Amino acid sequence: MRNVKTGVIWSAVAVIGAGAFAMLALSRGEHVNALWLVVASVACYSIAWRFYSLFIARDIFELDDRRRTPAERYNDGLDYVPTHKWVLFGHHFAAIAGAGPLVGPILAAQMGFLPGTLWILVGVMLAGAVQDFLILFISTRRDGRSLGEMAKQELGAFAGVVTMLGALGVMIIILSALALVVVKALANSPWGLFTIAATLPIALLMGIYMRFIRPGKIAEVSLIGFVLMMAAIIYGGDIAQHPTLGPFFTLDGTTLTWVLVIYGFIASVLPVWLLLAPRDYLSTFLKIGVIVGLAVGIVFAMPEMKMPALTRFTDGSGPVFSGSLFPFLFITIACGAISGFHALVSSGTTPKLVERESHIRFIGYGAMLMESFVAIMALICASVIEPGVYFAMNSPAALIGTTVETASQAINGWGFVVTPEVLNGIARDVGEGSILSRAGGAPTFAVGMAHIITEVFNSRAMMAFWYHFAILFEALFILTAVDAGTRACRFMVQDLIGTVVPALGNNRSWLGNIAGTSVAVAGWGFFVYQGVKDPLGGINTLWPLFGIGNQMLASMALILGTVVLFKMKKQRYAWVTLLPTAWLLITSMTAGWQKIFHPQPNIGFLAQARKFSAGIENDTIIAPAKTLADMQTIVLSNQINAALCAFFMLVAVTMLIAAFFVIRRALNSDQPTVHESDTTLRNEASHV
Amino acid sequence: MSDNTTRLSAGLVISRLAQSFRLMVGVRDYVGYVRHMQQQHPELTPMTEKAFHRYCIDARYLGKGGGRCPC
Repeated sequence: MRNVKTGVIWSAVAVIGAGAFAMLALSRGEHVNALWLVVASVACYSIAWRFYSLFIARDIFELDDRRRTPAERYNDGLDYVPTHKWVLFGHHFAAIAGAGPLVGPILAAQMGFLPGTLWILVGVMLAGAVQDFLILFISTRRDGRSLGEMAKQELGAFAGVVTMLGALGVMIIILSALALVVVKALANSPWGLFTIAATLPIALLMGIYMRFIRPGKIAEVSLIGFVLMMAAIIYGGDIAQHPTLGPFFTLDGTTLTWVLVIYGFIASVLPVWLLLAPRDYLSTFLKIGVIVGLAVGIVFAMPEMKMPALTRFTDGSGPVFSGSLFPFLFITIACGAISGFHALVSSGTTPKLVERESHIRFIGYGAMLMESFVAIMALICASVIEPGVYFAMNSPAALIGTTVETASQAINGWGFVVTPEVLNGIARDVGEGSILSRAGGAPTFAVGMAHIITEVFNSRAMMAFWYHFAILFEALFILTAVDAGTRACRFMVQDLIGTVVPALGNNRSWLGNIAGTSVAVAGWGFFVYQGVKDPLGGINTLWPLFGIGNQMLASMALILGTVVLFKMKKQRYAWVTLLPTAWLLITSMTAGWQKIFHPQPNIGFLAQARKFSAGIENDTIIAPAKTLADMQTIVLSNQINAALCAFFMLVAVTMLIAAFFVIRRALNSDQPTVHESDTTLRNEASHV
Repeated sequence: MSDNTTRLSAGLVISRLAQSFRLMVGVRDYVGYVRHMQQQHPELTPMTEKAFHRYCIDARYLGKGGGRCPC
């Protein structure tokens, strides 16, 4: 009886989901309500959660609640603590959700909302959530070891070093891509820049309050910070109008990059409690608040999606990023479908806090489904604004010019209607001088979110507030990530230097700190600078590079998982990891190859370098370069990008070869050869 | 009776939420820590709340392989 009831319920979920998909795919020529997208996604998530994740938990991993978890065995009340599964779910979700799922889907919206939606949903169900679940599982079975340590243990020392080098490379690229998003959003935007600048004194105040006055009172200090930040947004509009302060906060892209580099350097040598911790509190809570608020907003406003299901840019001629749907869609949307960085998080704090093995399914697979939903919401934000406005905001100046007239003319030529008046009107509504060529996701997300919220309240009066609120939220989050990421890079670099000059490897050595920080900041700073000078607008170049690196990291994590499955003698289920691994390798290798060798200069790095070096030989300046020195920078940048891309590809191939030999050895053994910690069982019996 | 249990569970939900939000920024459960120390290591003096908080900040931001996804 119970089986029949379950069968009926799940069939109904499947039918509703299929109906929602039919609405999305079949209603050509008319606007679809965004709610259908939400319904289709929730149906997919429910089915994947109920059936696929259960299959993995029960048949492959054989999660066993009798096995004592690291949190129980090493319980010290501090680092290892058995934690309630909902509490840990919140922690894990906050740790994996970042700016990635907000940027990728918005860039991918240039091909229409359908390709992005399909990849986000299929990707998360079969690849992303599987990866997070898998890594959390194998790390929990290994005392909460990190990805690098596990790779070393299961694949050998060389593979461990390769994994960590790959992670460092991706880290530098993601920091620069994110920093460039901030530059694009805040350049020539005195209101935006003032609110971000105001978070510095606010954070310092919070840091001192928390250190000396009321330690541990997180809610209290965050509330104070939040109120001050809202005040900064409200008065930011007046500051932007001020005759002397307005111009002071109006900086162009290049100046802003230098400011950011100097900021990144200072912020990452200051004590963590003074600036990083309080900003982290603000950005984390703001992020959770925005995600919840946006979900509620979409359900209440039920906005219509103006973006068509498919656009003509699936052929690769798109202005936002170049390259055709295959393979570039699959590397543009990384986080939200699958993200290699999650493998680092899933083998960090979370496995040390898992109370029971059965919780790993909810935390690993479940939190990633949630993150995927954030990506769907970002896609909705990009799709509810007029496509013409979307393209005006996301296309580089080289294609649409720098005035609303040239922009509207170019975009009308692509078949999307937008008038100069509309573009001016939106800029006025959100309190900005111009919204043209603000690629990178944050401003588009902000306009989309402001659009949804103003529909809920049915008033455009607050539009400027909500726009700057969304910009503040993303920029604050990104700067905190840049700050924390610079420190992480510094530790990695210091470790490397420490092997040569031990004295500099010491974390308390000032000279070592400065040297490590300089290398880290120079690393991402260089890429941001080249992004500002890039003829394609920077994001166009850096985001695919990040996507390729991130997917390489993901395939490395999945390769590690595959090896572990073989060692567990579970090879008949190896398709669960082999399928996503193969797809990731196919897409990221193809994308990597095309980014290096494609003959079109807007896709291939080497073709772009050749174009500009030919210009240098002929003494012709190619826009946007203004001098021959600029041209040389562009040539060098493209060569470096090509080398980095090749490095990512090499890392993945190395892992693949290492895995091949380990798997062959595992197949020859007639019993499991995994390096799990010794099993200790609890007396009480229970199961998944 | 039923009223009593709902109030109790509402309180529990709020305390779990608070615990989750604190854990999101790396701040562990101090009460739980003190209970653990009293039960398992009664001979040792647990850290004060201030010291505990400082420990959490250092563990989150100065440890390796730290907290979160940058993307």
